[in-house]
Amino acid sequence: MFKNLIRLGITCSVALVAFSCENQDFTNVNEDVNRVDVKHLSPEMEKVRDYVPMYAVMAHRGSTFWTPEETEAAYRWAREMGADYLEADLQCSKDGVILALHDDNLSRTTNIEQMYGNDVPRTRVQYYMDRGMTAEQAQAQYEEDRKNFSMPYYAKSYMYEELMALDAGTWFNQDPATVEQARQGFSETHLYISTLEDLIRYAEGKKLARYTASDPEVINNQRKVGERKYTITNNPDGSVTYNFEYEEDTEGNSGNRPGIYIEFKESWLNPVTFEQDVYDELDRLGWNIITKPATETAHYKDGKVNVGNTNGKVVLQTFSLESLKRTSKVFKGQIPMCFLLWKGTAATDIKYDTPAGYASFINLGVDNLAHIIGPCIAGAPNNYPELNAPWQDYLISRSGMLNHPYSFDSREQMGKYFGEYNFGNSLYREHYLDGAFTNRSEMTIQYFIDQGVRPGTAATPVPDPNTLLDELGYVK
Amino acid sequence: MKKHIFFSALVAMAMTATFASAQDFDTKPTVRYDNEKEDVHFTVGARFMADGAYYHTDYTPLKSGVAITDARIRTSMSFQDWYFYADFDFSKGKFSQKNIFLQYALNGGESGYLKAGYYNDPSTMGNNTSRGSLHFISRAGSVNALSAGRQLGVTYKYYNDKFFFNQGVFAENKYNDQEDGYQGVTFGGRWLYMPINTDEQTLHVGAAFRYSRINTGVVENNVKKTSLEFGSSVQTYVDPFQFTSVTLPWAKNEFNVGAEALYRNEKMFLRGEYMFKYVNKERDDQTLFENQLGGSQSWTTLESWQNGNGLAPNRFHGGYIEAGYQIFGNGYKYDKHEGLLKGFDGRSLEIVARYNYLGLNDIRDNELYVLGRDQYYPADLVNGALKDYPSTSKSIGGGNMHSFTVGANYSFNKYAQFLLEYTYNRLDRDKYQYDKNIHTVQARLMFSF
Repeated sequence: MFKNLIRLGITCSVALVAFSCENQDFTNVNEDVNRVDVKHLSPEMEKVRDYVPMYAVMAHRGSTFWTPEETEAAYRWAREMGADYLEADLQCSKDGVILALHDDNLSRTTNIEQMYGNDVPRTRVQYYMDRGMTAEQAQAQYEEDRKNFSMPYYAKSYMYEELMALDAGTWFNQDPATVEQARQGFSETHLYISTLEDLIRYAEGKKLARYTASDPEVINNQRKVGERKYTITNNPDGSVTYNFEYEEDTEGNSGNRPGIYIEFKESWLNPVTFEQDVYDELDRLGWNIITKPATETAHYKDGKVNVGNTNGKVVLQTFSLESLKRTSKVFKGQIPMCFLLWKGTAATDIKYDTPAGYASFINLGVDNLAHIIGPCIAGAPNNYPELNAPWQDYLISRSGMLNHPYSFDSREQMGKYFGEYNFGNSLYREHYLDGAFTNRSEMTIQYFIDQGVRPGTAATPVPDPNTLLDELGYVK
Repeated sequence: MKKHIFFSALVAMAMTATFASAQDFDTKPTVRYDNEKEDVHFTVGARFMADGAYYHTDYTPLKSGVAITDARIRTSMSFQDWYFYADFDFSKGKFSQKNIFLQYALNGGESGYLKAGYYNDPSTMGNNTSRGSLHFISRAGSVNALSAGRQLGVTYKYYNDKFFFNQGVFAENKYNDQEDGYQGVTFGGRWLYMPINTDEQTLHVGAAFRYSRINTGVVENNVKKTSLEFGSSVQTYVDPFQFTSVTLPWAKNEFNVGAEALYRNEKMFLRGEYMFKYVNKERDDQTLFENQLGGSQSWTTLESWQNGNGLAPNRFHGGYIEAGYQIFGNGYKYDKHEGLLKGFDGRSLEIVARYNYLGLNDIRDNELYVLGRDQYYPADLVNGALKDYPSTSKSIGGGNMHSFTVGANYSFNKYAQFLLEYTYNRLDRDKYQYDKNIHTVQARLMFSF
């Protein structure tokens, strides 16, 4: 009997081993990437995904290396350089203007501390009077604003007219990290905090219309030379509309028409209706392909970038889980959407970047109608956490989503994530990216050209970055 | 020599009537010294367990192999109505404190026993059954997770042929080495009624209760933070990884209630237990709220902070049913001193089976779990379930597990035993969503004297 029991035990053990194919004796990432569940884009989602060109170059904040980020200089430069997308972060001013601005606190990239200190700008009284209030009403409203002024230096605490008074260029010439790229032109030309409308107009080949000495407003001392031209309309519901003026960019006339790659920032920075507000603003500006589909399909035409004339002209992006959900409800997956990943412990971060944890974020993206995953990458100078290891790229590819890692600053990073250093030996895809957010568009575009993945119809050669800035009028 | 052995045997028989056996060892020690003139009796014993296990999992690997899972030395001394016992474990190369207590027999035991020291909390049958007497390689997972272990305290026990009462008061930390806070207190007990209790068969039914006040913790920014953690391995010791486990920050009051039943006769036993645990929490909201003030994104009112940082009690439960059939041997015995089934006694062969359920999922309806954050998101019918901040979910996903065990145990003699066991575990835990089926095949060689 005892022997029989022993035999039974041994038989059961052998049977378990024989019939098992899932078991592994250590945590093997290379195995686990095929064992986790990854949802796949639907055919409809794949169609929208394909609006975006392969090996797209996203000019991260225009450029953080060559120019003051997210300014007219940065976006004009990126457009002329031949980037496929002008990348920007979206926030909202106190009076509802959608901004293209990265930092929530303006201390780093503007002179706001010198301009306004920790108080509500005194010009606020005049702002209210211009909106139709009496002097007493305006003063009372100003005092009320002061009482509730809890977040100095945050963009959302200021009217856009107040933000326009800030200098968003000079800091670049003084920052030790960028001082080697300093240009007098970044200070002499008033670089404004950009708006979403500005971004779109830059993509359309325009630049800000500015006052000249011959303009009557200048002659009458109402405006200064170099200030941008705009008016404000008071709406019956109490809101305001800024009417900005633009003009053809005669210095930057490459003919490139990039798209825009716009990020919804952390959900607590903006109104809960922000995604809908952006939808409406895109509509107003003629860039909402849901209501106004593009007629062209070629991403490149006649040696020029043409993404901005296709259905791929707008790509949305966010780190925010809440914004991801809201975006899916507003845009319904009909505009390409990128779900950005950052490793950490904050509210929107991926904490566990195991295959199972990583796949759960990909699935969140698929469930919420995203088409692209945007993982952070390692490497100097930013030394971000690594979320684009080959196996992670493989998981993204399993979902049918595109992989747009961020952000590239060196050729070494390009080589690493293009798979150049794997010498053909890889368990995974040959290239660990389908596009790149880059602070050095010239470098990334040139790299893709050298690797033969940049379509021949795109512009070559790549302009010299310094010469281009000279040509655009930003003198050294 | 024969005279000496005979005398020792008589003493041993006498001691059986007056000595309570140690809970973790119910085999009688064989190395002993008896001084009848002084009425002093001294024993030394030891126990050794070596386990081998093969695990098969769907996803998360467990480490198959062999391990020394128990290596103990025990000693006891009795003097008149006093009894002292201590045992220490040094398996896995580390010393660990096991039982050490002093017991006094009131009126020779007729009026009960007072016991003080460090030993098992009395409030569950499973936890009070010695590992050497389990008839299984491990206690049931529900017992591992939901019962208290050893504690430092005082108990009063009384039993006769019909009743068994054991209740006591315990401290929270046996060494008082907590980082902050004075110790909380635990009180509870186990109460049995035995409608049948003869040499041939026993039936007992019982109830248990335990309340624990958790008072020790760590202080950060002038706020003391308590916490409670518990869980279970897949009923194995070779790899103690816990697929089912919970951590409850701010746990303050723990209430446990249980019910149990046991039947045994010479050829078979059947026993089972159900345990329910309720944990409520306390937090110094006012200080925590004030600590977060001072930032531009601070919560502005205590009420808003409380709404954004929800706190709720949790409920868990579990239970098991175990059965055994002795193919040959001296028959199953009942230990009325402890209200427990005894372990092996001489050469025998038995087959055993167990079903265990452990429920550590306390998840609110319609909540979304994101594995990459190991976080539940509250259901929100307006905006969908995803919220960046704050995370107000009160769900705890510690895992539910069903475990089915069959085994065979062979005792070579009264000192040595070989156990062989197979367990199938069915797991339901969001954190380990790729692990549904966990198989274990285990064997144990045990030696005790």
